[in-house]
Order: sequence, then structure tokens, then C-alpha cells
Amino acid sequence: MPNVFRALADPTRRRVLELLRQRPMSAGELSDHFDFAKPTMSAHFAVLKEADLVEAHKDGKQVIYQLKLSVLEDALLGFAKTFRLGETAVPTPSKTNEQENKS
Amino acid sequence: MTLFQRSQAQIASVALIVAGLGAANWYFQPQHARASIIAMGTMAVVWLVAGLRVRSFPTQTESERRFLVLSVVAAGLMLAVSLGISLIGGISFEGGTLPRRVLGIMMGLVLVVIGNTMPKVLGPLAARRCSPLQTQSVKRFAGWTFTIAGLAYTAMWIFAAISQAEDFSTLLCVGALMLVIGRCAWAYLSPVLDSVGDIPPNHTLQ
Repeated sequence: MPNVFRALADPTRRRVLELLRQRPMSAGELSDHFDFAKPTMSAHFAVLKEADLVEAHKDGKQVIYQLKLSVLEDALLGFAKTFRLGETAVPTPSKTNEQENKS
Repeated sequence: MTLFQRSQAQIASVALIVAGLGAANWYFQPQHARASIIAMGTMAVVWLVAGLRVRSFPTQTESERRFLVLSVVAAGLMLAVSLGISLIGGISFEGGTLPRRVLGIMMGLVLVVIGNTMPKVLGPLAARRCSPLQTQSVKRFAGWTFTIAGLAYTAMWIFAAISQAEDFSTLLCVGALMLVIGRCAWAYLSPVLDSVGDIPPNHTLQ
């Protein structure tokens, strides 16, 4: 279970799971949705696989990922998405202006 | 201990519990001997079938193996609880409606556990008759439906009057089953969805 929480705490990995909700996708297709380097995406896939949230099948040279969420994990994903867990807080314009004035 | 041995040990433990409770029931309540024999016989058959199925482990995915063992253990526990409740009744324990409620709660929780695990059980992509998208969407729907129905079933056996719980819990299960069957039929009859996604229905993996 700690692996599941760790996997769901990251917005990128949550986005990967949401994309896989639409249909199983290859690693390349998934990577196209992000601006990260391939090794970074591979690390994210590894975390999801370790948490047993996705399953990877080899198809020739491609690796096809498919969703493997239990109902509880699906609900946790929805919860994490709703409360934006792990996302960095964006400073509000008023606070930013205050900081600029101070400096 | 290998995965095969561990699975066999889990199934054997539950089978032995059922056998023990069945024998005790038979001894203390000879008038209900037939029910005890049926329970023990059912568990023996389930053990045998599961044992044969477990032998084909190399052709199954890990989630399929887990689901198989979980299902057999859940079935065995339900039989064990039924026999235990009958045994308590046989040795003159006056529990009122408690035994029936405990059995209802247990059945609701089994439904929750099975519903929760259902979307996680994935066969190999190559072995599927439907498109992966259809399979995924039907399994998610079935999982959520059975989990919610199981929670409602459990809550009903905890809070409702016993007569209401008996009537409505059955309706709830039948309703959930009909919904899932309807969703399966709809998925089967909607070929348009098969064309969605890059992986065709008859996709085979190397």
C-alpha cells in the first residue's frame, strides 16, 4: 500500500493513469503527452509497475501499458486528483506583487 | 515456499477448517448431517478443481492466480461461517438474529472484496476476445457495481430490520448482477467501440 500512495502522489503518474483509462497505450504514445525525457518517463512507469497499478506487455519492440487499478485504488486516484495531492502551490498574483515590492 | 505451494497451503487450510466444522456439526446435529456432508463435499470439489487449475499457473498471469486463490478462500470462509453458526445453534447458544446478521455481513464483505479485485484481474492481451478497451471498461463497471452493492448489502445487514434486510439484500444483489449483465451485453453489441484504440480485438502478442 505505501507504494500505491507514493505512485498516486505524483501528478505526472496520475496523468499517466488517466490516459490509460481511455485505452491501453504504448510507452511512446504515453511519453508523447509529456515534455519529459524518456528516462524520466521510464522511471515513472517503473514506479507505477512496482505499485502494481499498471501492467506492461511486450509487443515486438513496443511495450504496451494497461491499467490495473482495483476499485479502492481507482477511488484513491480520484481523491488524489480532486485534492491535487503532490502539486506545487502556485503563488497568487497579490502575494507575488507583495514579494516584488519588498525586494 | 513457492507461489504454488503457498496457494495450495492457503486453500488446504480453509478446506481443513470446513472439514473440521462439518464433522463437528455432523456429530452435534445428526439431524442436519446432509447439510454438513454437502458443505464438506462442496469444499472438497472446489479444492480439487482449484488444485487442477492452480497447476496451470505458468499460463496464468499473477493477478489471475491471486484472484483464483482469493475466490476459493472466500467461498471456503463463507461455508465455514455457515457451519460455525449452525454449530453454535446446535450446542444451544441463543444468539437471536445475530448468526443470520453475521452471515449477511460476511456475504456483503465477500462481495466487496471480489468487486474491488475484479478490475485488477487482467488476462494476457492476446487471449482476449473483446478489444482491450471494452474489457477494461466492463471490468471497471462490474468492479464498482459489485463493490457499491456489497457495501450497501453489508450496511443493510448491520442497520436494517432482519425481515427488510432479507428482502432488500437479495434485490440488491440481483439488481447489481442485472446491471453488470446489461453492461456486458451492451459492450458485446456495440462493435463501434472495437475500432477505438490502436490494439485491434484479435491482437496477438509475440
